Amino acid sequence: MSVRDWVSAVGLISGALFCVIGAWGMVRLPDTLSRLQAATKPQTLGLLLILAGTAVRLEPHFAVGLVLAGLFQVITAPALSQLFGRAAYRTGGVDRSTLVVDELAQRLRSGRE
Amino acid sequence: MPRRRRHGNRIAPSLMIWLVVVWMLLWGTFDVATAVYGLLVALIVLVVFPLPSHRWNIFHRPWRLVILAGYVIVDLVGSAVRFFVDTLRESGRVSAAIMAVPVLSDVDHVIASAANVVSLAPGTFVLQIDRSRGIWYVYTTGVRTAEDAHKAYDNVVDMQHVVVWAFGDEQEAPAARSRAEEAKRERDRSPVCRPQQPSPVAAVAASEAEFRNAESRNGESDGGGEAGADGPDDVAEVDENRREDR
Repeated sequence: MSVRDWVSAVGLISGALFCVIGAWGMVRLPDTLSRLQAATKPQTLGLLLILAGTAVRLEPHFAVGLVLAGLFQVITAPALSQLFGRAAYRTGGVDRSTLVVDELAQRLRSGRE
Repeated sequence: MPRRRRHGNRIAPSLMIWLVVVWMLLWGTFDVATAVYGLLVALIVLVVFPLPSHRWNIFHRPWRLVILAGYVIVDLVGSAVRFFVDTLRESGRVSAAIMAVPVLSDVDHVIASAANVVSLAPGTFVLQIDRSRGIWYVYTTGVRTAEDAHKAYDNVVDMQHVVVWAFGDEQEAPAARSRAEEAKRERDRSPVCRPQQPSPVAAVAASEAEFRNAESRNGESDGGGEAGADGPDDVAEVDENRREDR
């Protein structure tokens, strides 16, 4: 196997692994905020690894499209997770028993007095 | 102040070039006809969805950009592994914290970029940006003790430090280190985990106050670009801050 094959194999398998663990986290984690972590982030890393693994096997001409996919993933995933998280926090999608400390709640409370 | 003044809605050439490049990458063909259509589409997009144009050249300091990219990748992989090991070991029981962290910049696109970088890593994301007070509320998993909370806090500050250092303008980039140190110094590192309400970094607060004064002097001429936050409940809308984020 050439170096290229190795890079591709490692990228694809580890990327798939991250996606699987992300899916497992989706099932096991208790509340929206922590599920968001499992749903958006590992999938980002997993996708990047899969894209990298694929790109090394392709002609450069086709690989640039994959770079674009990776770039937009990196730009959009955090924005989405943030908007969802913010909405989840306000609509009670948080399991308070998981929080060691919540400085936002304290701040919101102090504002109401 | 000049740093926050809106430059009107003229079409930024850099954005135009970027959109044409994206268009050509999407089609995968690099010829004149695609470029012409790309130019047309870019023009329509920029006219229909105008962005506040800004003089922001991210390739101004390419080496810092490379270091930032390296830092982000290392952080992404490191925290992904940490998040999974933690989740697997505790078999799905999370222990998390929402912490208030001072923002190290007073420029919209730097704050948005830094929030994006912090939110990219598994286990951490910026839940709420309180723009006018210069505070972020960051959700972090894997926090069990006060020690963990302090470590997570330092981590977020460090990440912001790198982003401000790479993306900040002439005033902010050199000040990134001192602001990060100030933010770390201000934290009460007691061994007991209790909520803290940090004050914003002095330079950021000063810049914000200056902006508010200039705005009130100018009256309504600015067109209400910034979300005014009067009560603490009325935290500045995040969408507002993301407007400059492509």
